[in-house]
Amino acid sequence: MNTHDFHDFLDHPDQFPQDPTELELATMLKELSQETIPDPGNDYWNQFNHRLQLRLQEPKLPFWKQWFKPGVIFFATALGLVVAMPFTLRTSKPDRTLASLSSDSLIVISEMFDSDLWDPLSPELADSELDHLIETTDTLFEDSFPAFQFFDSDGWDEDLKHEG
Amino acid sequence: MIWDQTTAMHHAIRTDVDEDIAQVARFLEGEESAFTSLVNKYRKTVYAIAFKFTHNHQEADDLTQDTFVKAYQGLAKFRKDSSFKTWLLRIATNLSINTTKSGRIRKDSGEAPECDSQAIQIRPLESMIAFERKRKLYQAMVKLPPRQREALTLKSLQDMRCQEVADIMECSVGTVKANVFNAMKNLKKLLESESV
Repeated sequence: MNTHDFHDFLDHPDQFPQDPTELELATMLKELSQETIPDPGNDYWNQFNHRLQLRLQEPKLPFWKQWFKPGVIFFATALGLVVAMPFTLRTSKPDRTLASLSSDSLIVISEMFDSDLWDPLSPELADSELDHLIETTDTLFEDSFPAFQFFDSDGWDEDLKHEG
Repeated sequence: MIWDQTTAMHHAIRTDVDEDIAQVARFLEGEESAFTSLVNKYRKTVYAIAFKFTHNHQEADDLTQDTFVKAYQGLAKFRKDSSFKTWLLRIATNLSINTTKSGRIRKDSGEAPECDSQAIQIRPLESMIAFERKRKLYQAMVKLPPRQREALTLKSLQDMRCQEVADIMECSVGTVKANVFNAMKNLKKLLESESV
């Protein structure tokens, strides 16, 4: 296919190429060139000029003010969030607040802290109950920690005498 | 004889260019009506380019408005390296390309007068076949590479010479011809592949 014929046709649209393939292309181009562009009419053009005049009279915003248009603000915010998101995900630690616990865990914790076991620690504790608690804990500590015997007052005195 | 015709055509173009430059100078001196004269002179051409790219009246209307607003705001920077017409049509082409690239072209045809409706009423079958073929052609054109599409769209505008297309596209006449030729070949292939 000799493209020179087609190139000549582009300069002189009345001289169609001889080559059948080029002729087909030229015919298609001619078909595209003959497309009718709709004329919207005089009323439209008068209205067009009026609308254009209105737009041209609008003051052009200074550069810095263009940043305060709603669209620009929205876009900038969205972009900021997209950029910041990977950093936020990387730096955030696991949430250990009560809100992050399951309902079962919350029930267990609630039962633990609301239990009567902790009531003796409250200031409203009855005197008899407090005495009982002290006795119990004393016995408990003596039984459980033989080290208490080491701090026996007599034992201390004997040691001091020997040293003296 | 041909030489005389060519000389007359070049003379007419030169006069046209000089008139435009005079109007631009008057506008820059503060005469607003000079810009209105330029709008009245080129609004149909700008609309035609926008319509060729979008095939949609509402989009073509918006693009024509945008082109003149941009020209109004940038006329002080117009360097007269090219003619005012070329400069203006370059703005229109770039805006149209950006619109088609963004893929936001509306499907409705707005208030555009339907050019084929009358013909369809007179010869329904033939017109429908022609309408369908045109529709396929335009759909195939959208799939062309951008430079080929730009060259083909501008060249297929009536009265647009290769030199004018080259000036708008800021390339050589040879590049325009090669782009149009390749565009037509690709268009043919696309239509054949669709019909199979």
